[in-house]
Amino acid sequence: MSARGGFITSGRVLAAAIAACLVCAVLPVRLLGWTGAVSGVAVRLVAPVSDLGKWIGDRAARAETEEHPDPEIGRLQELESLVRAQEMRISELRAMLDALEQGDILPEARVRQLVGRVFSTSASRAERTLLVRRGAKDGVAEGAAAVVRGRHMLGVVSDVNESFCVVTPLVARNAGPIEVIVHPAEGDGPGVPFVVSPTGDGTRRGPGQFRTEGAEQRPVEVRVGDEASLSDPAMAPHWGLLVGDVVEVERDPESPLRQLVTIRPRIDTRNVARVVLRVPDDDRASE
Amino acid sequence: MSIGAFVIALWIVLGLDEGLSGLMRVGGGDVAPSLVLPFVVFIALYAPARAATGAALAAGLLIDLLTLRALPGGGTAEIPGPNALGMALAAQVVLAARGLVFLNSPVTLVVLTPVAGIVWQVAATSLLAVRGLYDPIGFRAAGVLGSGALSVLYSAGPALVLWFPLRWAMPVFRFDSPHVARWSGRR
Repeated sequence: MSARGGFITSGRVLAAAIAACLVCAVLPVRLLGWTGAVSGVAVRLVAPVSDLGKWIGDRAARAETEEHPDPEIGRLQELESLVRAQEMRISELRAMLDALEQGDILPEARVRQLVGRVFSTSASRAERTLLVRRGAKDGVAEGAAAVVRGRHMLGVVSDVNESFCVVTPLVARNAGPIEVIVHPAEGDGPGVPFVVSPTGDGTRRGPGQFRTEGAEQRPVEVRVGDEASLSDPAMAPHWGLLVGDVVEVERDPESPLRQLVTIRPRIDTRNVARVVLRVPDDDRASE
Repeated sequence: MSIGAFVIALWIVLGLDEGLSGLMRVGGGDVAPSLVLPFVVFIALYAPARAATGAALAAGLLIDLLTLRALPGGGTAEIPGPNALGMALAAQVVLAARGLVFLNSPVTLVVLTPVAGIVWQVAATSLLAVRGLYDPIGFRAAGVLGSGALSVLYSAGPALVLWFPLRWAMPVFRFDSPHVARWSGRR
């Protein structure tokens, strides 16, 4: 390439690059599928320095890791999630009894757990999306849950590359609605199911069912500070994981008997060093 | 300008920018300084115009490729172009201003970084907002522009820190513009 003379000059190359950027900037997303592979190369190129910077930053900012800082509390919280998952499983088993009568029953789903380091990406600031250094070659698949502190669910793997995966946080604007059960933070009160959707400001909000308890049919009501656990049928392997805390309770204007809750996760996805990826283990389930 | 020196410096700056953004963020987490921006402004202050534009384009393109955008209905996408063109425009602002400023002062980099950054943010946000009209990507221009503007103002701090190693490494870049001959370590 010569700066002067000839067809290919530095000026023309620059003009072509600007034109290409302009075209790519206005192309519909469906025509930009190829950028994933190019982006993967860019991520790998930047990773050595980025990892070093993030290692320093994580230690300085005391970023969240896959384990609870206090192992005993972490273990207790994991057991609490297991109990809640079992409660949901019992409900499911009741439903499966009906299916069994019809000869149609599903195997119990199990999960494999992989620890993955989190890349920092420019988009993390605004979109809160996580890029985790575990990919298809490690057995990660779409639908895996990203968890920290043993039971705090951050999000779901939405895209998998050969060596890394993208975790879309539960509070991301593009995450769909999910079902949760809200339990009292302390004590063994009954849970109330809610369907909550992302609001775009780092929370989820949605209406719940009207439930009563006792002979006098007293309404079960949730309060600020109660805990929301995952109970979505599409994410059965991850039931019982903590989605967040109830930060606001109001009456549903469309149905005053029902409550409308706002749930905020305890963990900010922008301050996470490592996560556990809970991958549904189809092989074990089919054994 | 030495392309090799630029590539290595960009690699280090981009890596640190990615890695340290979590540590330096403020204001609810959406405001974090850019280390790439002051680096691009520094290059635009001293490099020949065409090289400075190309360098800004390359840096912006890398930012685009490292930026995952959450799509409505699930999934993510990388959109090459908005930050690349924004950075190229920001470089033009610096190129226009460099004849009017003291090239050997860190204050120049500290002042020009937010100015160029605003141009970068407005251009990139406008492009994404325009494409949102026909291809929704769940992009909220007002919020992104607000946090982006604060981020580029915040970038003035890292600009001051970056000035000294970049100024020290200036002979390595071999800037060959006539206007910087006495500052670039070349005689």
